[in-house]
Amino acid sequence: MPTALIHNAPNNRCPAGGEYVWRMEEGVAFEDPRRISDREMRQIVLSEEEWERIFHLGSTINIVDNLLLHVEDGSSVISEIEEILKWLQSNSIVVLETTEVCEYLIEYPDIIDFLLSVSDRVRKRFVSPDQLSLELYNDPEIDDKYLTLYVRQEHYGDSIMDVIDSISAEYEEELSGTSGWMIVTTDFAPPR
Amino acid sequence: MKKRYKNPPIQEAVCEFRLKPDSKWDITVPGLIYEKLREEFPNKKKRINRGIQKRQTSKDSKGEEYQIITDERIQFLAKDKKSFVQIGSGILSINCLDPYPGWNLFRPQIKHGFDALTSVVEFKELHRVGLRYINRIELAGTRVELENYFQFRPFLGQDVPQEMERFIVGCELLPDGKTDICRVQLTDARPRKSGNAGFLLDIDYSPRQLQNISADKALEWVEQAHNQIEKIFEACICDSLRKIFEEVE
Repeated sequence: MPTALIHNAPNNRCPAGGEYVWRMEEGVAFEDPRRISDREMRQIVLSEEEWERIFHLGSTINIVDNLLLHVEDGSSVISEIEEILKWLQSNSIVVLETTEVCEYLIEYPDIIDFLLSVSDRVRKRFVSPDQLSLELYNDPEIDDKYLTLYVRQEHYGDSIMDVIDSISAEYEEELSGTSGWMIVTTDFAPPR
Repeated sequence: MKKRYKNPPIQEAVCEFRLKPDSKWDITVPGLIYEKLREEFPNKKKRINRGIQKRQTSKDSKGEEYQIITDERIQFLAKDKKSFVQIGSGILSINCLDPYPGWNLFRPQIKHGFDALTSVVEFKELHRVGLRYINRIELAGTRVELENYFQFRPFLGQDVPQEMERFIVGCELLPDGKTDICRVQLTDARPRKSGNAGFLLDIDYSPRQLQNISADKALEWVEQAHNQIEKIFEACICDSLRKIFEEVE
């Protein structure tokens, strides 16, 4: 079982660059932030907002209280999904057809953690997208559906697909182990 | 008299049993439990869960460290995928999603899951038992006067600005005065339809202290917990919500 020890980072701040994770080695952790590099690390990553929310109060008690608020709902699927919906909302990610997205997450719970991680990466790479929209794509020709995070802009630059491809390359290997599926793309449409 | 609703707001009901850390649990347990449950819960899935754990690293108080732990849970789902049994290390929960079939159907599922656990793992006491109901309420309109719908709601006082973007209000109640605790929490929630307002009323009932429930009393405790949760739920809402839920005889 991968574990991570919690230490205060210098100045209680998330290091520049986004995610903060803990290096793990046989159950021993070090204060060594680094980028996500494998599946195990992804499972414990805290986004910058989570980090700030948890650590800005400083004291250990507050840290633990905040973490408990975040994670103690271990046995409830719905509370975890509602937490993610709130996170998406607070980060201005539109969820069209929320009921369908929720039903998909209930059916494929192993993609829940992944959705958070990918959405956070996309949000940071597109510093000011006009719209990020999470939708459930339903293939009309075959019985297949998957989550789609659309990047929509008023004016599309030439490099948008390159950026999307580079994000996709980061997560596709991780995604191969899950029963659900998710893609990041654009339909070159204006924000809805 | 207990109330019944045509459209109950229950999104998920969870009954969780946690064994003591020194129980005889090993990696064969989930497979053995599956054999007991496979007729009713034939489909298998995995789910990653995150938790937190305190660890003492030295004798003084500075030697406390808190660990985020991740563990894998196996889900055994019923054919309709609306109810399932989840198994993690030392934990078994029985979950029931919307549409909630009613206590008369959920209770036998809890018993079935617990019986499977007791037949596979030997234990005398449980570390924790919990019964939790998560209710989702959606009301038309983005501006909702909470006092029209909820008896349990935030009180701001007349001099505090009354407009709220988001809110969370919670209490840990002592329904029977001593042995059990009930965490009640009302928060705003993302509405399913745009133009609506959404709310989560979360009622989580458990013993006040750990290691308080003997294995042979566990199901009796669950029944009493359910009775208390029903009372607390009714005490938290107003008649206008009962009309929306459509009370039936």
